[in-house]
Amino acid sequence: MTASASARRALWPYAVAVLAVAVSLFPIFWILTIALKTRVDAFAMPPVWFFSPVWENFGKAWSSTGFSGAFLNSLIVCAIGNVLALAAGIPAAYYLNRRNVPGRRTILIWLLISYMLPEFLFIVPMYVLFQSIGLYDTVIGLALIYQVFTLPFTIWLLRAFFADIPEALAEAARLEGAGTLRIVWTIYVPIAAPGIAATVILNAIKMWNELTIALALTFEKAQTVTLAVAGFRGYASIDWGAMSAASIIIILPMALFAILAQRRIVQGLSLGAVK
Amino acid sequence: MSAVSLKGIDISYGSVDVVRNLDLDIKAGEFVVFVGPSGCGKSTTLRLIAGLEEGRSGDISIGGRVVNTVDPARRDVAMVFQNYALFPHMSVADNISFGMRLRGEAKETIAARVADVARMVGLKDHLHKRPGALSGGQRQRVALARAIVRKPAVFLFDEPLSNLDAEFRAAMRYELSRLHRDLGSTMIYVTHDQVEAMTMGDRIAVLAPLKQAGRSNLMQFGTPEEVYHRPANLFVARFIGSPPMNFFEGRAEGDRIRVGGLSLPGARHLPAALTVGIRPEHVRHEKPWFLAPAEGRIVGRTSDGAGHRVGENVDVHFATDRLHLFDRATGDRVAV
Repeated sequence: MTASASARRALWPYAVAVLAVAVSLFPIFWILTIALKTRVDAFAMPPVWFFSPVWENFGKAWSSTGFSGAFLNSLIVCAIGNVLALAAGIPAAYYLNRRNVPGRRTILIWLLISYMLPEFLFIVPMYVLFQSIGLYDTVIGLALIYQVFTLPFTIWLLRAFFADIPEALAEAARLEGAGTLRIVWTIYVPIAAPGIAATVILNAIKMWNELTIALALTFEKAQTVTLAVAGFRGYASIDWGAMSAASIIIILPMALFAILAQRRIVQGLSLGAVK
Repeated sequence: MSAVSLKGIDISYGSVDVVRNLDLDIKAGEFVVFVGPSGCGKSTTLRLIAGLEEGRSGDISIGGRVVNTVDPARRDVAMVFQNYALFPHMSVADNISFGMRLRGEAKETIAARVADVARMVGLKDHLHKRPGALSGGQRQRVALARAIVRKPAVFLFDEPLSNLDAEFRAAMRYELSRLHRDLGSTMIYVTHDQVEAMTMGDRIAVLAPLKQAGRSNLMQFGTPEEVYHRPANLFVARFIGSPPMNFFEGRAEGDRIRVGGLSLPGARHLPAALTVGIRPEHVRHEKPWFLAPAEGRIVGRTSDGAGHRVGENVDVHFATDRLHLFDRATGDRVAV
């Protein structure tokens, strides 16, 4: 093989990577340009590639009715949703890794099925239930209903991370006098911290982007960012500039979160890959 | 230091019996080695003593107290695991003091005791490091220090040296023996390595898998000399010794034993079908003691360093007072 052939071969993966990044980032780039253009420039044909950016769409989006509230709601839902998922998911994942748990297989299959069920399946019965017990249009209610997908996901993921921790560690701690709760808290949780961080991030992204359930189970007070963005679509017209700016604003927290925690995510998802 | 006693121990996993009818009395301060091939139940028995495994029946006593239902932490035992079982996110000092911190002991007491034990095992310069930054031998010392710091009545070792290289293993064998001498604690040590068993144990319990064992896993419980020179049955005779013992089929004829074309001195009332064994070091060729059969494969040791080619005819001689006789039907040793 000649040197140039091997160089060409080495370039292939980069070419594919550049193409993949371009395809996935183009919609975001396009939305960003709409958010930064005037109304006239935004829909000019052919597209205007060089323009002086205007920032007023961002101000308009943030100050529009309910947007900042929805932003805060989404943050609270993600936080409570993750706390609930970890509070139940960590002990569940620990126990479901033990050999002698009766019905372990059935529980795991059941969790997997509930994770795979379409979200709207829960909506009708939950709508009635939430109305009657006062959880309709509350962030707590939303964080609770999100457990139908965050909890199975958390349990399955943490179970895989916990399975990589040798059982002898728990046994050594037990011989030293540690109870189950302490073993989980002082041994399993710190060792699986990168995995837990990855789980929290993936859960947060899923909850942050959720639309169907939020649409059905909130009305005004507990509206989330996805609904707030959809709210820019008026009865007779769509405020594309503000909507695009709002879309960019709601991407930022998760993008920032993912960039900051990127190392942890990679560490977590490859936990146990190399013994 | 406490005596450990096992009475009629049965352990099974589901419907599979692993240990059956095991009786053992370990004296206070004794170093006992459980040795045997894979699946003989040696680790399972050790874990039973620790309380990490449940038996189907039988009693476990430590220091005269039956501990069948006592929590592992309250049995006054410390265990060193094969893969060290160190907490990777804690420093060496925190690993060693884990139990003391759990019990809420004073910080000064913990620091003094940790420093003391770290000095004893040669870790005092590594206390701030995480286990990941240590070599295999150093990790094993941390595991050892974590056990020592508790001052337990009984130490349990589950193949603690099997992950170390040969050089370290020899050094650690010596150190563990020295530790036993210094602390005087009861120590139970599991290994499949007969060199470890023969060099470290005050007494050795040779265990066999139930498929080969029959009534009980325990094949013999005795000093290294007894186990080597007076194996209680064919299993022990085969398992202990490297290179292994030579075996020949023999028949009792009056007070003689016929092996191939040879007639060896025996005794009256021997079982008709016998297995005759002789250790390689008792097969000699430099000084005529007794002429060996000219057929079959025999392993011997040469002391003169003489090299022999494969296929070469060599006269070998057995020390007849060193023969081991076993009943071929039961496998048990036959006293002459």
